[in-house]
Amino acid sequence: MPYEQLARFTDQAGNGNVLLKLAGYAKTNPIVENSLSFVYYRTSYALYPRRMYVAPADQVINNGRDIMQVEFNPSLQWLQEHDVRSVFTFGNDNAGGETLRLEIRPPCDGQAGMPAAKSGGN
Amino acid sequence: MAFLACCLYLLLIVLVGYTLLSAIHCSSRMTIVQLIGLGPAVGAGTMGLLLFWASLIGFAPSRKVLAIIGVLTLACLLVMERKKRLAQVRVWPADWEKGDWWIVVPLVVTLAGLAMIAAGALSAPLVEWDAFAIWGFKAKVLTHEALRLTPAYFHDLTLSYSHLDYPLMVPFLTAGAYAAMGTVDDQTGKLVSVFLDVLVVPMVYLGLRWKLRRLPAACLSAIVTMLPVMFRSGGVGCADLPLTMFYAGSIFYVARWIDRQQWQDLILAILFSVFAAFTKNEGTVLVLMNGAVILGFGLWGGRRRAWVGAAAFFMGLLAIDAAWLIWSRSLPRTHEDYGSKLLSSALVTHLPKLKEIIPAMLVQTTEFHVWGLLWIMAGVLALLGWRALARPYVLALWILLGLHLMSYALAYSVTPWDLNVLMPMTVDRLLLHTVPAVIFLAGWHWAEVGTARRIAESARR
Repeated sequence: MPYEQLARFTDQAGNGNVLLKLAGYAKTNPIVENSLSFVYYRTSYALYPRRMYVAPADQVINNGRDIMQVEFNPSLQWLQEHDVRSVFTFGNDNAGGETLRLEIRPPCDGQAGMPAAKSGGN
Repeated sequence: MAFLACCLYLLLIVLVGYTLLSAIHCSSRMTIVQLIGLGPAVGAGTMGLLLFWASLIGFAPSRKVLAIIGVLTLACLLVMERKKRLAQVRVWPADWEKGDWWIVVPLVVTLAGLAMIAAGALSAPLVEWDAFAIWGFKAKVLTHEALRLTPAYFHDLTLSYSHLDYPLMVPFLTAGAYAAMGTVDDQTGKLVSVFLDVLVVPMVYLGLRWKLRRLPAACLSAIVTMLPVMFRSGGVGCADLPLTMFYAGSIFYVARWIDRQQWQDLILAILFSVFAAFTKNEGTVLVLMNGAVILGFGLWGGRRRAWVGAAAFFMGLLAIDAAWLIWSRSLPRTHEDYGSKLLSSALVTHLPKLKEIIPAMLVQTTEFHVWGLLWIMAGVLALLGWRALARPYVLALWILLGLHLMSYALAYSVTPWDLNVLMPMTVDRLLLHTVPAVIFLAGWHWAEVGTARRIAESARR
């Protein structure tokens, strides 16, 4: 995952905080642990003082495997309380094609991850 | 503009260091290397601590804080100038020998190496994982918030990967640069990383020059500069080379204290030890070893001054580091938590792993693409100059090196990570911390090569 691409995503995320969601095989496939760690570390650094949420604050996250195990799926109320205005989706629901996909979607209509605008790629 | 502001900030660090050195070595003469190496090293450590203390009382690094430090420094310099207590810089050395002109060769090699490290570092933002995930992240946090009301970051376990309990010397120095620049620009901010990392070379030269002639000291310093591991670690924004640099100062002045019992050496040993402990957690262990060696040699020598020196070392360490020890006490430890594991009985059950760890560390020292011939050369010089073992300061350094390597081997034995993954990723970085001890031993043994022959010849005459 190129640094420039992540920098572009964080620029596009606007002013609010961001939720990181896993999609498709990224929820379970250990092969993406390393990439997931990188995306989380790098994006958290680039976003600060904004935040990227992957788990409740009392959950220890050391790497991508920890993120996969949490299966974080917060409610709309939680998202609003934490000023989450964008969702990064990591992974791909479709088999084949791109192995990694990152999308930015506003959390709306009561369900985190409902698409409104999107950008992404490898 | 940001680059200029960053350079002014580095100049302030140099001034702070010069002021402190002048206070420690009143009215003494300072060489160029002390001015460009020792002064900035002391200044950097002092600046990191000052920014930390200011943050604790509610002032995050800012231009205002830097301006106050600058005004106070200039005031101290003026007062010291009036009282004729400023250290004088000796541009041309009194003991210059005819063959010393050859020093130009290792000097050019050294400068070329350092220029390459600087160019590589400043051509990109923070890209090393540890640099942005741990050190750069902390620098951003410290730039935005003071520590008086502990920022939420330090208790957010979802950011545990960034090691919430790591010491803050490098993040504070970087935050100081961001404050001077008025923006968080991590590419220009890497100038601080380059500044800290290249200082290891003059610190090494100072330690070597204590016992070696100018030319061999410069040659050994050039060898350190050109180590492949220096290019891998230099200017990337991590804390390993700053720790190596501060540790070099601490063991050099510990050795000098053991040899000469001068209070100035003890003060500098305490300062560099505090700086090392505030740079990385490994530094805390290393400075306790420094204290133990000072105490051990004090007991051995039986001199009252040495005893008092050991007590002063521990009290000084505790007094200057107290704020960090108290403030960081409540921070959540990561699952690594080597400190607790090394002090628990679980250590004994992990000892058999040393059979795997020690050979892996030994093999690493022979990796030419990482170390060149450094370790082999040091071994050969130690054999040739074996008479140096009779010197207490050389013996002290061997003990420090042995304890250093043993502590890292034990840390590996209790790590929660898979050793087969962790060691290849980290062993070169950890062994980098031992480079000052290795090169000092090489140089100090070299100084003894042929001593017996020279004494015999002079006796015949």
